[in-house]
Amino acid sequence: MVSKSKSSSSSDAEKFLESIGVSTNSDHQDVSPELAKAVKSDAPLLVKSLNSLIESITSTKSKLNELKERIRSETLPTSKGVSLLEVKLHSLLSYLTNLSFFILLKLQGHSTAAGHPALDKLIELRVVLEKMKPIEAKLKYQIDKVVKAANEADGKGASKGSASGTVVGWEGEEVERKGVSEYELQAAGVSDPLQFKPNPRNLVGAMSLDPTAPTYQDEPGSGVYRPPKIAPTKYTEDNPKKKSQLSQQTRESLSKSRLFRDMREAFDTARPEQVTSHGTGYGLRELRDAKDEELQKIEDFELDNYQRLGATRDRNKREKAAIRRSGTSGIVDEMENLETDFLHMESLDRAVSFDDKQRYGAGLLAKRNQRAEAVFGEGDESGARKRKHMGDADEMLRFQSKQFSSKTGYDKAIRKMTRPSHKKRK
Amino acid sequence: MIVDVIHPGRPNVSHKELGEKLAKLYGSTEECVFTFGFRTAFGGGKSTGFALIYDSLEEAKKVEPKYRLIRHGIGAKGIISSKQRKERKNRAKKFRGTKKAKAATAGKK
Repeated sequence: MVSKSKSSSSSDAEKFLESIGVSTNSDHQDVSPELAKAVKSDAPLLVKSLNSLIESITSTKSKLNELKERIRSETLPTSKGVSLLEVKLHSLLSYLTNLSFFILLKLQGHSTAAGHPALDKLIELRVVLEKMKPIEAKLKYQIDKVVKAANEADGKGASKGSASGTVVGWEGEEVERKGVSEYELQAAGVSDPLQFKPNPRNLVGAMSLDPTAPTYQDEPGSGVYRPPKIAPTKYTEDNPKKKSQLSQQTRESLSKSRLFRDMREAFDTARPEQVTSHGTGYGLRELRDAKDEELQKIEDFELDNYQRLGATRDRNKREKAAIRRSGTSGIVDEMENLETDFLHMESLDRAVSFDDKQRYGAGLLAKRNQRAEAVFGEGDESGARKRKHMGDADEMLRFQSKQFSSKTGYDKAIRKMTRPSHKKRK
Repeated sequence: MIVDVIHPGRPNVSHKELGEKLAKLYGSTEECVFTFGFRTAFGGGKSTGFALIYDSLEEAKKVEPKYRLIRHGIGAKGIISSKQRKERKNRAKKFRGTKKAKAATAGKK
């Protein structure tokens, strides 16, 4: 068709264009300068695409010759009607011919108006191809399987020239296997090409493939039983709902309260007192927490924009939540929390009485023991008396919560009151 | 401007007094000085707020929001009590258009 120039430099492009009668100089009268410029810019691209076109044409030509030989030797049966693949084949071929005719028309400058028969044919074929796509998608598995079988069989030693390929028509027709045995196909891992149902053996399993992979049990004699991991399950440490009077949450909130902190300060002398330097102005860096930062931001905004921000519902909620979480805020009104403090004291009172009971016994005996201890001081522990020594107030609380059963209505009421406030049911 | 007022021993300074002081400072009249947003710092003795000084009262009337003008004494508030407002609205419901305004005020008598 044209000179086969491998390089696609612009000079070649120009040569090529001149050979087909298009002038790139703007001196020419017929050609407008913009058109010439456009043509010049597109020229290398055109050359490149034409070259690729030539290459693909030569390769398909060789394949076609082979196919022609096959058909001539009547090894491909085409007598059983039109199959999907044949329709596709023929439509693609005729699409190609029409497309090449179309390109020729364009090159020669004829008009390619909408009513041209070549264009109509192209559109028709396009529609056919598009409609075939979903059907092809459904058949994909079967076709792939057969092609794979053919390839494997080819590679397994059957002669290349013979029709070792299989042909599957529409709805699974006769399969021709010349020179390929069932055994070979199975060895190729395809088993029966006509079997289109799902084959679980084809699934890659951990057991069959990798013998060194860890199995359900480590060794036959190791004695460690590893349960099979079937589905993810939740892991709970202890029995989840202990019927303890003070739940974990209550205990935590109690321990954070001011009353207990004061008591801890007074009685737990081993523990050093912790005071933060927040707000004092001392220290290497001035401590600022999130609240401080927020306040500073609000302050800056107000001064910049000459407007005061009121407290919003959202901010109030957050503040309350933070206070509840932290136990105490910086500045607390003592009178406000007196009620809750007294309620907390109930549980403490009970814990103390329980401990006393343990220590001294009950009733008159308790009084006698108490007086004796006051007079004689802490003697050494006798084996008969079971004395339980608590480390500090926390331990005492914990002990009494474990032991104490709350069956009476009074206890229940107290429990209700010492629950964190957001759980209160009014 | 941002105004920091230091008033030890006093609860806080009134708008009027502040206006007078600022007018003297900046050579204006107290009718053109508008103060707002004063907050006393914790512990007392100091308050911080904002003040605006206009060239003339006319300009102030054009720019300032209604509530600040009312604080200054210009303009009057409408009916405050909700019951009266609702009664007025219900009287006006009987009419359509400009007659509403007449009915709202007339019906009272």
